[in-house]
Amino acid sequence: MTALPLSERLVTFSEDDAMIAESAAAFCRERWPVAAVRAELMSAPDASADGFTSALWQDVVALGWTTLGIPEVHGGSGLGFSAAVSLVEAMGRQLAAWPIPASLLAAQALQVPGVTPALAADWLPRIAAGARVALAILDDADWGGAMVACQATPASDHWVLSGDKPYVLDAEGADLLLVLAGCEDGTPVVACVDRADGTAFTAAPHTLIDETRRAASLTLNGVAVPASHVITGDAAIEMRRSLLVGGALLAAADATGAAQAALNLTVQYLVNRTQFGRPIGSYQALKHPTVDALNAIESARSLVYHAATLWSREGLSATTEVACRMAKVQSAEALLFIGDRSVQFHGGMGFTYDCDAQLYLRRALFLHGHFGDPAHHRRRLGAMLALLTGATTCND
Amino acid sequence: NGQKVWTTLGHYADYMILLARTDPAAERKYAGLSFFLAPMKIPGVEARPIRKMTNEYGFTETFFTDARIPADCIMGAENQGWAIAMRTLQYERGAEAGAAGGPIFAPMRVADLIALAEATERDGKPATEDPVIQDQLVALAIEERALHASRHRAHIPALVNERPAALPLSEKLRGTELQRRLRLFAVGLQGAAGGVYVGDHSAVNGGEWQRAYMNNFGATIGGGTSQVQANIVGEMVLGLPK
Repeated sequence: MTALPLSERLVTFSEDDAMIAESAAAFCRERWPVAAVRAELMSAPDASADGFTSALWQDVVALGWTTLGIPEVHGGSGLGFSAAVSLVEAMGRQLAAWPIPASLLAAQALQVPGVTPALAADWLPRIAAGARVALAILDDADWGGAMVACQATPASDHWVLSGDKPYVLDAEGADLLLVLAGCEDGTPVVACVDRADGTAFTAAPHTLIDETRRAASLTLNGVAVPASHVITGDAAIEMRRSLLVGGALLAAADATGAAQAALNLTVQYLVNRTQFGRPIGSYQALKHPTVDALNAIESARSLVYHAATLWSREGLSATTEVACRMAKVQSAEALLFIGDRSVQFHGGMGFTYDCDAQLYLRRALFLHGHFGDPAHHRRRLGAMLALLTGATTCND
Repeated sequence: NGQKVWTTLGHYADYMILLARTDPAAERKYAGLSFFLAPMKIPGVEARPIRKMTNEYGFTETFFTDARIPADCIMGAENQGWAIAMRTLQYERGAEAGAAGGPIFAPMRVADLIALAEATERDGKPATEDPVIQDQLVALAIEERALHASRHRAHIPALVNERPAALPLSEKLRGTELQRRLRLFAVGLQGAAGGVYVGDHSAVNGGEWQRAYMNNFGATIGGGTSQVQANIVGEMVLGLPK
């Protein structure tokens, strides 16, 4: 296999990637133990509005996490977007939910050809410097919807947005928002909304099943956005694709990290808990499904890093899109399986709020649908059958 | 004296790998075994063919009755046989399995399955246009891609550092079980033609999928069954108790 040139390997991982992964894992372990997670659950008495403090966000920014995928000329690191996969995996592992994905996805979208250079030159450095970003993507619960229900009406030198955008993660603390909207005739636009412009909209908080996160449903009522900040036509379509497919990849990375932690929690319990005179992990009814979970998680991890490799090699090509969708399907299912089994295998304890198994299961239930559930992605993959088998070598 | 089973091509071979007990008094089960490259075409050695479920041959039961194996046929030291046998199993069970197992282990590909589906009609249209079939093809394609990507990831230390043994020790389990389901799906795709076998005039691809599916049990049972593999992964990778 080492005879294969780098450009043909299904997974590559540079030294830079490895450094980022290691430092991210260490930071998340140190700063976000389970105690921190529980303190910031939405139902916890002293939880922050954002789910994390501004001090923590500043430290995340200081590590350079918001510079990935942004060119150095715009204050970025010059490292690629796909390196974010390691960051998000590390966050998932510690059940962190800091709005890194939104920042990095917005940065990718702003670099789509056709986006006004002045807008990119304004926003990219701010994102790199840690401006908080929210993505208002959905019209409703359907990730396959047209995303054009929020109406965008052109006026003299601006557009006017009116409509509801539900399920917007980290909306309340956001400085910058990307809002998917539509013209009267249904053609998509992307509006870049700067809160500094005094843009007013109402936000009604959701009660998410994953209490580590925060989201709100936004109501925009005649919100004015400068024409220079509204992207239309093919660029808008490509921005949307970048957000949806990139979002699926990062959600997959999140799920993969969380799944590994859930697996470790489960294994620990199976080794330590005795019943009927033996550690319960010796019973094959528990051992074999746990092995199935391991295999599913390892597969998810391979697909996530494979997709990241393709993204770094060829950007968001059709083959990269296939890999991202595959990663989302596999990782969502893997996390759900281990989350579900973890509760079950913890017995009576597993049924309680205090057992950590529920934290992973709730994350699984949220991530399952986030950026499209497995059925959504499998349907789209079904339409791309010719691209699913590719030039993969069987015996390497 | 004694017998061995599953001697591959035993009725053709001039020599066979023979692991025999040379020290019956040895305390431990695995001590007291020696590894021979034993001649088969000598008095006292009889190879009886085993008929596989596929109606094919390929293995024998080999019976030894006062057979004299020359002393220079021993490989390594006397009573060192277990270590040598374990080494050969590494070649059989590991990533090199393709080399050791020959065509029985030649993997069938989802691409072939898709070609089969394209050539198969359901409700008057290619089966690839049936959304239910399509979804099953997608699921198998995802598994196959994951298998291949895992083989590449296994070579990157930074991406396997938490459980470095997970991918190598689960490779056989994952690969052979995917092949089983892939081949079984192929048979199911064929409609009534899935119910005929090699030799029937209507058999698709000469009944190759049917034969391949049944032969695949050689892979999920032989070389350590999938269930034993699951125990090995659970115990050696996850540290679950025996």
